[in-house]
Amino acid sequence: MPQSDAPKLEWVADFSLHASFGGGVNAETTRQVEDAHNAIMAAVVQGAPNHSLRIRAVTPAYASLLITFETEQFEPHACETMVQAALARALPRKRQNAQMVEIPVCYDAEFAIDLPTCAAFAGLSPVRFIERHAEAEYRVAFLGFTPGFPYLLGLPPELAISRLDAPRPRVAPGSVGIAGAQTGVYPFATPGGWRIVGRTPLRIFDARRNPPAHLAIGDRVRFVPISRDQFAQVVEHDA
Amino acid sequence: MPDAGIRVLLPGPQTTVQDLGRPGHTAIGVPAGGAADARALIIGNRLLGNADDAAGIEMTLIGAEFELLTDAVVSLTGAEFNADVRRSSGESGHAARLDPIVMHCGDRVRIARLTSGARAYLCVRGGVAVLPVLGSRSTCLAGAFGGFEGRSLRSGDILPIGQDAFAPPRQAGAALQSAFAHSHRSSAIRVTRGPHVAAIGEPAYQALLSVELTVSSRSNRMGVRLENADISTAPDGRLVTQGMFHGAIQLPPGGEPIILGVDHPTTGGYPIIAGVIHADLHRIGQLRPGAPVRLMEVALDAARAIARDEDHKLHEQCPPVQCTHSDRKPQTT
Repeated sequence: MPQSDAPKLEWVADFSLHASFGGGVNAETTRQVEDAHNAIMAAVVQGAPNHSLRIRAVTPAYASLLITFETEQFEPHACETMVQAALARALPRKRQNAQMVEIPVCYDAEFAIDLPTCAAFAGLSPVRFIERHAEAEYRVAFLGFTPGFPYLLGLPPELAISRLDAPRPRVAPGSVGIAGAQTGVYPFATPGGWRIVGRTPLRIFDARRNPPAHLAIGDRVRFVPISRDQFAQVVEHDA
Repeated sequence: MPDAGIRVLLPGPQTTVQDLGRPGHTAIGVPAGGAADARALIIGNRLLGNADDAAGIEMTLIGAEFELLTDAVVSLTGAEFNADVRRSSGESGHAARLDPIVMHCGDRVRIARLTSGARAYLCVRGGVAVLPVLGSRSTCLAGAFGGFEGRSLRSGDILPIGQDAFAPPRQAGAALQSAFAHSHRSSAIRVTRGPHVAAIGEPAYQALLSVELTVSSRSNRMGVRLENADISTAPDGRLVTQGMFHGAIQLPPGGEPIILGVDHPTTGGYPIIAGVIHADLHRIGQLRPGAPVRLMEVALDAARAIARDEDHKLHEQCPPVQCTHSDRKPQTT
């Protein structure tokens, strides 16, 4: 396979460096981002005792990493050099063992408030739409927006639909949504503009657990349809 | 003793426990959080002999009232406000900003409506000792964890007081007093050019820098919205979702810029037109609805030099408390 281009580094603020990977939203690019993220975190751990570079936060997304540095003893060129060196060492992680996580989803009309619209837009019956959503295999590109929110790749293209024109003031926790070619799960009640096609009874983020997020970058995900009764039996959400 | 703490009498609209946040968890979508005006919290802590990252109580726009259920030393920092102490003995008097206040069991402190700025802090010697979650005592409102039960404080809540103090309380010097007196009066916020100016258009960026903006009432710890930007050329496209940073000024399609605050979503898809410089980040937390804002551009290198200078200045005006591991033993009050 041809070697992909090195990521482009750009200072987007006085202490924040943005590394962009050219590929756009696709599985190959998110794997590159994941490998780069791991390499930088490894450099942080290994370099700790004898270099003064201190990373405050690293935020992966579809095709980028945002790296924010501590201000003490900050030197921009040293930061760039360190990041470049770490990125050059990034190795593809063995992914044969990427775990498959099954997420039970109730597609009942009570929860799937946008299912009729989405199904009509896709030219499918609601039943067929649910089958298509649940038979696909997804991959966690990254977690972002709010604690534990997974951005999933792998939505069947015919299920893609734009966001709502105006976000809802409150989306219920556990809601499974679609926005464009993305699908994801809202861990908390929050305003949101994704179209809601179901709800999981699982608690997607819990700060008291270790790890707190139910899903991790790189996980494979499948939605498993459950009935309203099954939902009621396992619901983990507060109120 | 579970009851020997600070009791909330009147909580105000949004009063939360905050320290310096948990920046290392953005990869799982957890905002860094922490005090919206971190500088004010640090100063309040240093004057009490606390470590910089001791947790305090952050109040918003309208103050709050507390009762001490034990003897304690507190400090009030942040916005300008009127505050008073009512002693259990019946006496009462004005409570000044900055200088440590010795409180006795049963004494009350009331922070009235904030007159300038948006956030006031009550720090306590020893720190607010709620349990740390993901490495911080800060309240994460989006995830409903951390702080006190993951939420804003309510009447009747009792906050535990810790014992981690490392030096005697000290008065604020004249230099700190005068630096602090006017810190929330200036409308100028310094920014560096954002990464998406080319996509948004240079005229829109110049327009943003040339007008007097107004802080919207639809502002909170996640972000501060700015009105009057009059940017008619706001792009209607979204970017591929990418990592966001504290101080990023996003430009959504409506043309109303949003300065991302301490609790900002970790990722977002609106273009970034500018970024508040590190040295001015604490001032985002003091922007109150209706306040004027002017954005002033500086170069990246200048922004970094200002950060160093401001750190140095704060170090001179209010030196950090030495709390090395060897003496990280509680000092009794």
